[in-house]
Amino acid sequence: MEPLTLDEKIRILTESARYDVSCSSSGSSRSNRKGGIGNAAASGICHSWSADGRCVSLLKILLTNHCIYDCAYCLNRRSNDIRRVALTPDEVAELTINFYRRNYIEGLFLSTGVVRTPDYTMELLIETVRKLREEHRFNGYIHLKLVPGADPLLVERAGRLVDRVSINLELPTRESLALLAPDKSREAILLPMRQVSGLITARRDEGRRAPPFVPAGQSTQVIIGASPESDLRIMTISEQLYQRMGLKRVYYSAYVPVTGDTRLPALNSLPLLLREHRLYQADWLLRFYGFTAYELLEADAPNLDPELDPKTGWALRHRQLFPVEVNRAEYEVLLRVPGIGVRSAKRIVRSRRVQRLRLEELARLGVVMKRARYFLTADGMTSGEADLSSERLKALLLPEKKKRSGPEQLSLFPTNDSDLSALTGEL
Amino acid sequence: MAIWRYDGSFTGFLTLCAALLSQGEEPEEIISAEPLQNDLFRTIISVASDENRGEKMLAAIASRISPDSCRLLWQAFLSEAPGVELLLWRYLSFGRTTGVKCDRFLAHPAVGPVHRLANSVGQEAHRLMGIIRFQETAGGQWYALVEPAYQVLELIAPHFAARCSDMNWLIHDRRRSLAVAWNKQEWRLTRFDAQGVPPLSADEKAWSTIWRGYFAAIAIPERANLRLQQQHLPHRFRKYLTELEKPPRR
Repeated sequence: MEPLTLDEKIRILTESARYDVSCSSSGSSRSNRKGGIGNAAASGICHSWSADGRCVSLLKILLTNHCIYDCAYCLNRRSNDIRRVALTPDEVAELTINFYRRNYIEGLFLSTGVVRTPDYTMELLIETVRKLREEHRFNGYIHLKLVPGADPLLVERAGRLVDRVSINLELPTRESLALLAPDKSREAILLPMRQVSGLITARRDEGRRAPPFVPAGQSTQVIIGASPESDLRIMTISEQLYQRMGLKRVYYSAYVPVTGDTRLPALNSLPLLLREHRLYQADWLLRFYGFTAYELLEADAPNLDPELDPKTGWALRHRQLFPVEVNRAEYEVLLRVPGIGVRSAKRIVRSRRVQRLRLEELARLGVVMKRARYFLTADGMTSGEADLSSERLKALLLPEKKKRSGPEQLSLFPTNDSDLSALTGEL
Repeated sequence: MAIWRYDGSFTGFLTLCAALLSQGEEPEEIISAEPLQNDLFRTIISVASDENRGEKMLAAIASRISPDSCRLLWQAFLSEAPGVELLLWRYLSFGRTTGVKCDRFLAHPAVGPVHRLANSVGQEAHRLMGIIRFQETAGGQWYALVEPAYQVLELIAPHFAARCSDMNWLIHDRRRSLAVAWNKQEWRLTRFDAQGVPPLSADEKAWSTIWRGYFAAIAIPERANLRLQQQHLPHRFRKYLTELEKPPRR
């Protein structure tokens, strides 16, 4: 084979890296040092959007796509016949700095296939970020993948250098992992996750002047649709990861068939992308709206409704709790009204201290009245239609049929959500 | 009531507000440019910009309403929206009656619109922090060309000053013929009329080619969604984005 140019190598290693969803650059406020380059913006910053509509914030690339493992869902699995390439730590560092100076990117998200042993691979990753931090004096955002099975000492060293670490759960359950990724054990994944979680907690107790340890926390990714777990199963797992491990994010990745493996289902992509979208909505409800997995889903209806967003679905099942009076209801109660989000709930709480809110004011505060009107009163007034039957109400709340036909991916965020900082790198 | 006129600067606007307050006047209109035609029936009162008076006004806003209000007014002012001056004047008048509570009246017509304008300006600034593209010039400096919807250069300068402190950079707002420039010590807003991009360094083309290749490869073809991309990246930004420019002909 002819040797590849740097451009070609980068292209191959990018194509191998793109199935990792995370692109977040938020949550760290590392500052620049004298004579250094870069800092991290706590809000995160998106630098571009690729043709699949996803935000480009970090240089997302693999150090190498050589891999000793043979995970059925993965493009880089040992048995797949693809061109194998590797970059040196120096090449990656150089590339990062040059992209960063041109403001193409917010930082680096470095991952890799596993070569020789987990420890050897982890050392290569660490060497790359060490070069960036120490030789190039780079203070921008770095997200580093942890290699399952790497020595705890290496995990700790990595955490001291970077802003975020992640280790992918890959599949929701032990059984699915055993079936599709026989080389990886659930323990090898959970162990470093638990270790990092403990070190983050310990760092918090050391006070503000102690050196940082993954200031932007850790995240993980679950592939959905490659194995048979229900949405309820997935949401309870996420819930535990948030509560017990203190994870910042769980990413859901609709399975894209990159192999013809017979252990995997055929792709029926539209429903799967919609399912992914609903899982993200439910995930938001767990993290910012005070819902629990068992409120959103029940054992006898374990999957999210494709027609309605999970919050509206919940409200329709609990009509006895509505309508709520916006001038009196607690913040936590306001958050549960369809059409009221974190931002508008905060605005309501802030402005009702100085003025009684009527229906016309609510729209000005950013409440989506099209949905919210059926679930609230303002100064005792409703916009009527309070006695609708649940069936009729559901019909009214269904999104209008799109004129355009054919499969398309739903936007993860409503178009009218005007706050960009909230979107930044959230996916 | 009269038409009041100032020089278009924020200091000028603050001076004008101070004048209105001291004379107990209510403006019919506040303008910064020469009126299109002389209006025989209305008087135009011009107020000259006064650094000292402007600063006193700002200090008064900070103490009578809140320091956050000063930032809010400035940010909304940078929108250059038609009629923004009168909007800000109404906010100030309302703020004089409410004091520090002013910004809780988010649903009030004197307050809400100012917050919305300031938000839009803040969003534009935030977006620009991501989509500005520096090019390395032959002289080793870094040049970026933009045409933002609002006058946000002063809002983004501190960000790049902190982040790219070891680079000599210049961000050029072509629409307004303005630039902010950083010389590794301080940043400064200046008039800037240069046309065209300066000569670039030898490496620049190679790096932009690599970036374009990266950008094409990062998208998952099975998930192609140009509408979603369009939604995030409207056309007005695209012509300055290295990754979306048409590649140069060989």
